[in-house]
Amino acid sequence: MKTDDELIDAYKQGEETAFAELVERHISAVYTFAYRMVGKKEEAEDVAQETFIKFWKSIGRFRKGMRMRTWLLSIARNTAIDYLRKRRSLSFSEMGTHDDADAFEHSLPDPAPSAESVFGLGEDTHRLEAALMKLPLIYREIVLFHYREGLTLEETAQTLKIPLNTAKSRDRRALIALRKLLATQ
Amino acid sequence: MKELETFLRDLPDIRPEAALAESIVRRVMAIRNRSMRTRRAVFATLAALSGLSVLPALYLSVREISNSSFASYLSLFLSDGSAAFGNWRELLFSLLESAPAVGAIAFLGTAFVFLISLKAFASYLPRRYKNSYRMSSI
Repeated sequence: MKTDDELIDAYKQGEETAFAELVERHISAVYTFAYRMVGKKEEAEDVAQETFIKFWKSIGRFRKGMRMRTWLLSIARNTAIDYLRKRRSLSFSEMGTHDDADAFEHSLPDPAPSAESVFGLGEDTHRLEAALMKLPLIYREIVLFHYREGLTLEETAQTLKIPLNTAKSRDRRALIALRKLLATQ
Repeated sequence: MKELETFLRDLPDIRPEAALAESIVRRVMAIRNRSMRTRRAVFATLAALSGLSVLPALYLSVREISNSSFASYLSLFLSDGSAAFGNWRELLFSLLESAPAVGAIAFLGTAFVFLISLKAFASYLPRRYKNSYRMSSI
């Protein structure tokens, strides 16, 4: 099986199926990420489509050694944010500034620590998905890049173009907010 | 017992509609084909205009040479080489002064634009690809 770098080289030399193979390989990850950013199936499809179009337009800038998945998801993140801005029906829980995110976090009741409510997720990821979608965007994207996609906090900070300390702070607050949301469900 | 972080890492992928990947590739190909058609049209027009201008520019250049003393000074090298080399500085200045600059620039410029735009037009012609695109073949 060809690597992403090899597929890009092949595409640049005129092999059309190479691009199609790249799309097939990464469509699930991009769509999943987009869905968890925008929360709607149709918009996630649009975001995924725009992401791959932007990727195709900038394919000349892709350098060997770069992680294609991270690059694609970075494009997907920016595209999703543009979609959310256009939607204009934003609540602070969908896309917030740091202050909004703070306000959201503090608005959640602080239950007594209950391992059961968090650890009792078992195989039920629906509760976690629902809680994730309620997180402010600046927390949600940290969670998606750092935990779901496996980037380190340094890589996440670079991808999101924020200082490392900000990434660490948002990561911590995201987990706190998630635990509170899970406890209140 | 799983930690929250582990649950987050293990969140499953959400499968998109089966046709999404194919529709993405088709849309990219449509954009690419449209872009190539536009560029072919631009370079074809440029090649045609510059190609039509090459001959008039060449005619202008030749007429300028024949009307100027450039040819006469140049022929001195062939007819009386020793005298020419003896006064090479004066001869060189005379050649430069009488050189048919306008005609030469016009001819070389239009010829250059013609060749470059022809090359660019050819590069945007449809290529034969190694494999014709079919999603089902992947």
